[in-house]
Amino acid sequence: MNSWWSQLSAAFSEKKWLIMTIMLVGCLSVISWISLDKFIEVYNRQSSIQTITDLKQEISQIGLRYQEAKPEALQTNLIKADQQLIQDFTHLAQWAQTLQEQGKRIALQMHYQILEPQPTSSPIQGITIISLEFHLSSSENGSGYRDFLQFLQVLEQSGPRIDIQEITVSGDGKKATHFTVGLTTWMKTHDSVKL
Amino acid sequence: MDVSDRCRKSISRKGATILSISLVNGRFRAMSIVNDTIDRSWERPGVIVTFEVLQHAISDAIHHTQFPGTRISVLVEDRRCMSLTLQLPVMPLTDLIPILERKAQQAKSSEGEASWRYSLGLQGKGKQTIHLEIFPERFIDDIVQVCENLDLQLQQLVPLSALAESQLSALPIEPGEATILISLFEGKVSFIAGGEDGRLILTRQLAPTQDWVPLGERIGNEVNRTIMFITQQANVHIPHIWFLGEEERLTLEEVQPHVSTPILPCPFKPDWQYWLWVAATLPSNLSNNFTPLEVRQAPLKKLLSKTLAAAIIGFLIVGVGTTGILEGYFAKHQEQFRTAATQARVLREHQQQWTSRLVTIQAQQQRVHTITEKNVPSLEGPLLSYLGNVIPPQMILYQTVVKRTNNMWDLELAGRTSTTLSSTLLLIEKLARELAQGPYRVRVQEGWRDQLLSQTNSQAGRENTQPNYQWTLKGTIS
Repeated sequence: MNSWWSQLSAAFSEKKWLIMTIMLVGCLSVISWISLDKFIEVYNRQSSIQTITDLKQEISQIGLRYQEAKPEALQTNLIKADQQLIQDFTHLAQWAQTLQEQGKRIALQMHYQILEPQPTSSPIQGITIISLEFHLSSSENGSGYRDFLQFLQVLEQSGPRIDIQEITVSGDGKKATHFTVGLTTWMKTHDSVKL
Repeated sequence: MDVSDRCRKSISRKGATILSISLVNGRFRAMSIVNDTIDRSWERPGVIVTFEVLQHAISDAIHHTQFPGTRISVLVEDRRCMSLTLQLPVMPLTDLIPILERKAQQAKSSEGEASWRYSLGLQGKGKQTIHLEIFPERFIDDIVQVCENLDLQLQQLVPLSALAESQLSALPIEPGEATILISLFEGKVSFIAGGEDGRLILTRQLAPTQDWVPLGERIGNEVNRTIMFITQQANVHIPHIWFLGEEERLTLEEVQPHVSTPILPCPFKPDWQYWLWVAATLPSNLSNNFTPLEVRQAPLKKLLSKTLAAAIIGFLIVGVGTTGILEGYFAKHQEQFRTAATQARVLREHQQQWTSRLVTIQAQQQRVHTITEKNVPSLEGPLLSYLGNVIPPQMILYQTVVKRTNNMWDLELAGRTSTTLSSTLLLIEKLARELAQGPYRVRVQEGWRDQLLSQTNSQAGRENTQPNYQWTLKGTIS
């Protein structure tokens, strides 16, 4: 026992500095690690409190922006906007027939032609842009110029959104007899329907 | 001075407390110095022959002088300790050390390893004077062990000759001159030659007394030899010699008749207490201090190890304390933290819901805006009305085309006139001007003029018929 102890003591005194340095470094490392871990925990917890404050502020701001967007008026606007869209091809045909009838009433013969839809040019999802051409001719002997201008007014006030692309007025030099109106209108996209 | 010496000196600067002892041929004397002040001294009767007795003697000295410190200085003169003065060719220290080692081992007067210290002296004519002090290694180890047993820190273990050498700096020496100090301590005669700045030139010791020659005469002869040697080697003038001795053994007057250079008594009259004081105040980095380096460094190492241990304990306390405080803090605020975490989760869900709502409403707003907006103002109807007003009655219009191109409108008018070419040109020019200056700011292309002029030949052959010019006007409304 004594010899074992004396050997151990001798070994310790021989390596005293090394052992103490290792102990110091070890202590420092352990303390640093524990402290770092704890400080990170404190930091995280403080951060979570800060996060709560930030979240409250953010939610408040989002709520404010939501109220500013007037959600109660939006539904009305959506309905109004929806009314400016052609619902389907049936609706398109009905609308064109109505225009035909109105054209007749102001002495203009009208027929229309639906051109190829342009799905890629639609600025928003779910809308297909339909190109149409209205061909009108005056049925009476006089110039149909005024009637045509009246028809344009009727067309613009007919309800659906239209963008007139081209107007051609032609005649025999004495009176305007033929009119062509090229336009686009927006129709709700129905995947199953292909023109 | 090495780093450890400097550290030790700075640490112990506040006032040295040291037990200075001398062991001269077995006679033991001790003096305690407390805060640089001589406190008590004690002399042990008899002669010490073993280290066990020395240990008892030091212990008694501590008791008698009531020494409160731990540092000890030991001054030694013993038959086992010897000194040599060598003259060797000048060489680098790396070459010199092995030679000195060999010389020391050859010259040692006892069994076992020899420990040695050297000091370089006079150098001239390719020769280097070296003073070598040799102690038995065992002798040093025993003294170190005795000190360790008594918990004393050995600061100095120096031979008696170191005292006389240290006095050189106290002697008045003029620039360009040298001096010799004859010292006689405890029957040992030394000749110590020094330069103007107290620098050691030469140390010699007189061999044991030859009874058939009177001591005064013998010393005188050795002094003369020494003077001659120094004068030859260093070419310095020695105007006088100093004598420091024990008057009961030898007086200055016994030596002077044999030496032509005047011999002066030393300005101080030392006794053994003075030498103990000098021994205690010698610098620890003295060349002939036999204290092993590890023993000299031991206090510093001890201090460092204590500091290190204290630092470890301190760090542990700080670490444990910090952890404890933090754990306490967490335990105290645990409920609060838990609530905060729950609240944060709920708030995140709310945030997601609100963000989703906002994104939806913004998308819907965008949809409404896109459907209801008119990116290009409609001008077809008013434009056609306007054209009906501005086209002169002389011009017959066949066709009007209004076509949208991106954000602009292209306008094309086609017709004919029955007027002369010049009138037609004027009419169309007027129309083009009116279109350009009118509310629609039509930029009319210039091609219409060429078209009209190209019809000149076809009109020339029709003299009896009315002129008939076809015209086309193209422009852009931006």
